[in-house]
Amino acid sequence: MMTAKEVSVTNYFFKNTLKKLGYILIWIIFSSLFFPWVFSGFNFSSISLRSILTDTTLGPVLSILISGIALFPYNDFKLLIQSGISRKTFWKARILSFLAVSILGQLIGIVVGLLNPYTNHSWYGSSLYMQVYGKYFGSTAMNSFMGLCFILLSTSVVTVGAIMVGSIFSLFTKKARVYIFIGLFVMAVVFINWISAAVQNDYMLNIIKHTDSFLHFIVGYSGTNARVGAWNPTMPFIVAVLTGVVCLFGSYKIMELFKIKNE
Amino acid sequence: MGIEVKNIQKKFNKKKILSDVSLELEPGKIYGLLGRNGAGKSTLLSIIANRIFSDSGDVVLDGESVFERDEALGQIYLMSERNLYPEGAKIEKIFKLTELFYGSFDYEYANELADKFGLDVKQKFGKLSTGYRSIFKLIIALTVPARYVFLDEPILGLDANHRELFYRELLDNYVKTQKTFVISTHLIEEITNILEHVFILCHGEVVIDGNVEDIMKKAYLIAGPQKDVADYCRGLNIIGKESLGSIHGNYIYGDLDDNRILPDTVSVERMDLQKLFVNLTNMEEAKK
Repeated sequence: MMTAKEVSVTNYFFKNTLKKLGYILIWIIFSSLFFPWVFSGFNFSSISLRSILTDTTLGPVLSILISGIALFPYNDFKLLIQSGISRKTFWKARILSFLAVSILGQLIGIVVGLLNPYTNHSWYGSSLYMQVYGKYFGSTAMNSFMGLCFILLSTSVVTVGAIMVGSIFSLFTKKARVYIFIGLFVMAVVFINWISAAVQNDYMLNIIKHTDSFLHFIVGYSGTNARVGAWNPTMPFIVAVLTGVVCLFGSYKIMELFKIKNE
Repeated sequence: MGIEVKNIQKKFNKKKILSDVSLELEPGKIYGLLGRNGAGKSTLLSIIANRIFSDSGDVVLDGESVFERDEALGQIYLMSERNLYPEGAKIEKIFKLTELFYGSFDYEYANELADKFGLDVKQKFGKLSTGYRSIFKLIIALTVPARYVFLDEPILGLDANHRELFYRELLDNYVKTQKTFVISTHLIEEITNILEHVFILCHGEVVIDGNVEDIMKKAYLIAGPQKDVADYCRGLNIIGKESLGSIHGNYIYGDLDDNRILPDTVSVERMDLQKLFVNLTNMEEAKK
């Protein structure tokens, strides 16, 4: 059961996220019409609605945008702690509202795909799951159902992951965040440089082989004979659930540490 | 009943800000929380409102810890110098958000106060001047349905007229609602008359905790020729000294001995709260 405060805060996050999302979508629609128009010499007739609608993959786009919004919790935290709301309620409401928006976004993406005549009324094209695992079960209905479940699960995991990552960065001051981003960038460059040099080393080659096998294992790849489209989806489901649980627990523990910063 | 602050300790970067602070806030009183810059007032208020964490100790409301409890936090409102409201939100929108999170909000009273202070509720929070930001937060503080209202530097940036108006509205609100107010400010003279109880913090410790009337009964200025004043004050708690030409003054905090004979050359006057504060905190500074 949710308390009245939890319901209020969840509603606030839900509406606020939809508002932000709507604002971003308007800019995306404007940009996808504006740039073709400008680069076609300000000629409206050259804009192809068919091409725009064929390339539209609403679900993944919404998932990325929602995760992007979830990365910045600190301003909401400031407002809520000023308004007598605990961190626990803040976390609970944030998770519930973002999950609801994410799931809603994916369902809308699927419906848009089904209604779109230029994608042959199918959402499979925008679903990586359907392309890799969509023929595993004998029944098309079962494959579609599992595909739908996986989309909703994986999007939820990505969103909760974004909430956790955003929470980690919210613990630091703006100045510290800049240093962390610079540090991570430098580390990434050094790592890429190092790995490209280290692949010539037998020991590293061995590690890369093991990493490759591990990746194959968690995506459900069962060998060279496995037909793409008929890979086993069990492992991806397990990995998604475990990652989701870790991110949920992690985000809660991190948000417990939230405090008003001196900046 | 009320709020109990129990043995709060807090360090920032190994520097002790609050050391074992304990105090009690009873319902329906106006308290003053006084202290010099860096004494730990804002830190203490932020801990009570759950904005930051203490290293040890607890804050209890009606017998239960306020830590991470919505019910208790909903009874507390902290108006501070920090601006935690969204810069892009209009004042009327923030009123609605306050209603949403606190459960109720007196719009009629809020709009009446906004009119009196000349605050445009259609204005965005981020566009307000420092003074009007304070006014806006004061309006929320007076209107919000919290039983314990903490005002940290409430008159920051307010002109004399607005300060007068605020003190009037605060007293009016207090009489009508019987809320508990805790006011932390450096303008001690202006609030002395409205305080019932005062806490003076110095170096993270409560050095005075008492009813204003009782405290002021123990605060004296003994003035006269230096030798006579020194003789009269022997054995008393001298918290400060002052000289003007041949006239010497000793500030005393504590009971005067009735058997002491007061020379004709020496006068005994009452000290005001600000003088008491200045002398006490200076003495504590000197001790450190």
